Amino acid sequence: MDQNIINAVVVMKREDGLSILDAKEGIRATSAEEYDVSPARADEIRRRLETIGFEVTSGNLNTISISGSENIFAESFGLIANPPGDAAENHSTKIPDELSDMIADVFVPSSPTFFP
Amino acid sequence: MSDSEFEVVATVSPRSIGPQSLFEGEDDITSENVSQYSSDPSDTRDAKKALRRAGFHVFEEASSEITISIGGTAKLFKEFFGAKISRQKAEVGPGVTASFMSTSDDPAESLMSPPTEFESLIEGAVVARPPTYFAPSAIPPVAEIHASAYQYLTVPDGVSVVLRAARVHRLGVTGKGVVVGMLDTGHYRHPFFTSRGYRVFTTLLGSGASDPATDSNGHGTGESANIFACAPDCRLRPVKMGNDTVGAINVALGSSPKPQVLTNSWGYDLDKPGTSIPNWLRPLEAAVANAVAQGVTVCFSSGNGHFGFPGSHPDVISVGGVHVNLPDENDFEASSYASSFNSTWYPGRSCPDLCGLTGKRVNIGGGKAPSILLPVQEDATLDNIAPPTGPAPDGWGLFSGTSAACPQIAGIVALMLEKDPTMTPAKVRDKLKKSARDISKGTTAHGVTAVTGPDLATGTGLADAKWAYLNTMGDVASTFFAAAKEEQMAMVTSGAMPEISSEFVEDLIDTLRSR
Repeated sequence: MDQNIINAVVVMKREDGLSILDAKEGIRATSAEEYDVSPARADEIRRRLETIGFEVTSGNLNTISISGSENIFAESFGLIANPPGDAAENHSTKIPDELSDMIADVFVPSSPTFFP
Repeated sequence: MSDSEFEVVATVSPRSIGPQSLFEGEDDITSENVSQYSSDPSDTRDAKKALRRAGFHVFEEASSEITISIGGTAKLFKEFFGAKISRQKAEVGPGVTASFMSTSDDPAESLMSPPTEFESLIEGAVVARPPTYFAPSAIPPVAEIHASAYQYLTVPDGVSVVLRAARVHRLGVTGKGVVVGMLDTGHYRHPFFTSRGYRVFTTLLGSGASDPATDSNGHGTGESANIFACAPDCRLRPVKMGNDTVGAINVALGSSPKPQVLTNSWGYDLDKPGTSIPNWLRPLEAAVANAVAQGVTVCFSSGNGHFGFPGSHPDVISVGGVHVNLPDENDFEASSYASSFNSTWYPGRSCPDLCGLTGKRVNIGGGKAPSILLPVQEDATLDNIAPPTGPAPDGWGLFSGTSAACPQIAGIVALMLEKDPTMTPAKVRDKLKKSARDISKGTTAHGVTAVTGPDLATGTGLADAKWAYLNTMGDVASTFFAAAKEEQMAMVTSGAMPEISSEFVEDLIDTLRSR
């Protein structure tokens, strides 16, 4: 049976555990680099996500965008997509052991509002 | 006699040097025999003299060695040529009728004969009739404006004139070589873009988006026309978004060639009093910061009465709305449809920084004044937005919000970066803000009234592309004068440092006086 594809954003942790979710102040162009993981670490996280079965669609040194079936999100991150129109924060309830020291959280983003 | 008194304009043929009259010859007139219908210069001179003496105006520049163009009242034509002249009507385009004074189009009456004493000098005359135009506009397609419609702007001309981008274009600065990324609902190859030869790269897909050749919403397609109105030679990189706005930014930044400007006519209505940024928006906050850290100028709409984030992010150019009360192109007010707020998430950050053109909230169809007519995919969601542009989907929609203002600013940024691609995003924003025209009346959707000087309602006011360009050129000139001779020569050769002609200085003074 066909399943809906979910798109989500993975927040990566640096080796010392720091991530953008630890920011105490706004993240600015002048401070964004503080939260960057190394390119090698970002590559490793991508590889592990792909091994689980996610498709990596894009990313930077803070976050990686992934897509996958409802099942794989539920099994890996305990994450179920909100019903359409529900903009409540929706994030992971668990992180697989092999990624727990690398990923801070996984979010399913809400639709933006356009301003025509 | 003034131009308005030439109720009849006619073409007169002095005596031809060949055997046949221009009007009564039996041969077709071709490039091979046309010289036979020219006149001896002395005959032409005498004919003009006689016609002037009779009271006609001779249009020298419209006359040739074959014919003389004259103008005068119907009464004069009747007296001189004995012509029967009456008011006539003709269809000059689809649904367009012109009224004019002429002889009838009956061949027997259409040729006017001169008085007997001039028969040896003048062969005859015919009254000019308006031609038929074969399209309602020289540059199709443009939706027909309803007779009772609230007056709105069109692209590219209306927007580029009011924002003074047209003045920059005449200096040869059109956004050449600058890539503008647009994260939106996609881009449809509407004839508006193809007929003008605008450069649009293939649409890239953000995660969750599909069908790169379509834009069933119409928002991205329509709003992108604002970019080209301000920077017709920039190159547009559309990125079609799904919900993953972070991924879309990363896709844009990873594309080649990399955009120098990102325009975003969307946001989340969440930066409200009593709240703090939720964790799920931290990735977006970081993505915006990353883009700016990479030297990309990022523009965001501040919202249509929304508390728009990332429009409130301190690193972006936050774009609000000013309404122009047409037909007066200089009557501006803060838009009652646009946002203006102090960010709760970023203390000290007020939105907007400056404004582009938007509609305002008035009681007409759709509850707002349509601001700009923009091209959309036929039958797209915004093709059917109120108020309608016609009785059926026509591939055009009337937009009102800060979604239009933001890409206008992105286009102006492209003009600035064409002349000085080394400018940082902060410097671009600073110059834009300093060059804006102050807006001192009108109240925004958040109830903030504009006053003289910078304020919360409109920031520093309405963008002024010409003044922003001149401001940018000031820095370029400083760089030029500080450079070594070889570098100066290179700047002149490459066009980076334009010639400072008297025309440029006069233009600068004229722009200053008109602000």
